[in-house]
Amino acid sequence: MTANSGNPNPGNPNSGDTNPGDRNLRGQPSDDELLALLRAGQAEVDPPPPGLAEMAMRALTWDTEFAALVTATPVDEPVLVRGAEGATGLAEADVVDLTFEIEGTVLEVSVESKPASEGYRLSGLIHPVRDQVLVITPGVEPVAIECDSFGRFEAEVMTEPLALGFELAHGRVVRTELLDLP
Amino acid sequence: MRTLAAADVECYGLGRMSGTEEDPWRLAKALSGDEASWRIIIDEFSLPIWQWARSYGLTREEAEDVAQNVWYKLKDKGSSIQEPARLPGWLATTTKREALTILRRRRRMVDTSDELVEELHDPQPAAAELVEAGDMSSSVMAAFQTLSDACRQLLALCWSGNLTYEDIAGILGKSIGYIGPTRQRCLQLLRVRAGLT
Repeated sequence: MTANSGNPNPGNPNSGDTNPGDRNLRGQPSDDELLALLRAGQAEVDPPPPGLAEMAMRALTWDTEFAALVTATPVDEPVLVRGAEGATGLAEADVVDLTFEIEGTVLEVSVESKPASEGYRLSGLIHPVRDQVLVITPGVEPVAIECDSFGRFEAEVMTEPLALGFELAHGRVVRTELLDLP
Repeated sequence: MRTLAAADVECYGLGRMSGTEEDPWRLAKALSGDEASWRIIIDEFSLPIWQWARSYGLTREEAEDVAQNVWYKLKDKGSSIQEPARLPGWLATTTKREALTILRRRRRMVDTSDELVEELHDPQPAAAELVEAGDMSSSVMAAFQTLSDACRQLLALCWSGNLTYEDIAGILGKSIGYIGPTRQRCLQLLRVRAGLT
């Protein structure tokens, strides 16, 4: 069952649903009818912006060149630095450390939220050493970050969502999946 | 605002079969670039994503950013969704994560006191604007704005997106046993404040 549907299992202690058409003796709406009123009422008083659907369509074809690349996913769960479990149940962090590995190339990146301003500070290391790492944001021209002789890189970025691109030993370019930002 | 009669409810999704149930391969087709499938998913979930984001107190501009990021992440990571039925839960969870990222950013930008948090919270249309004499839907909407954040977030998850209680429990980080009774308490509070008891 879904949470906005009538309860097909009256014995389920987790559901207090009444049937959608049911009303109490005074003609008041059922729980499901109330939820439907809320859904419709919210849609009417607070509709999504008109361009939202078209923006969502653009996501399908974002940056075809890079979207088509082999995607590297983190090799481990993201490490949350200075994180704490918030009231929301999700860990809250100022910094997220991620490691990606593909075909022997390892990219480590630390994404830090800049205090008192928008944007993120990236710092990381790529091994074997590469000349540069790309910051890839959908709909934006990729930005190259130069690496030093040890493969270290740093950058400050204002755009999101973002992924990182890099070249493998044989010249093929890959990218990470879109990063989960702190 | 147009008055919604309770009889209208069948028009607003109760018992509606979700697109993913109609075609379990729709997500896979969409991710492989099929525009028609992608548009069906957008049509089904644009409004829920928007309403979920707004239920976290985000401004319209922030909610738009959240929606954009959710769609890009679905395109990017959607292949990790093993079962099509998990799509609504995945979208709701991703919406929550993106919303919390924005809320954390707000906190970092402003050394917020509780009062400031309240100020930053965008309550959507003011309750007073919604109250019209004898209009059930308006009084329900006005009452909804007076509920706690937790109640509004839970009810927004309940009314949209064809989420199961299991999905909602996962999104909120609560046990399944928490959802039904809390939903009931929130709705009862809504009835009282809307004058429906």
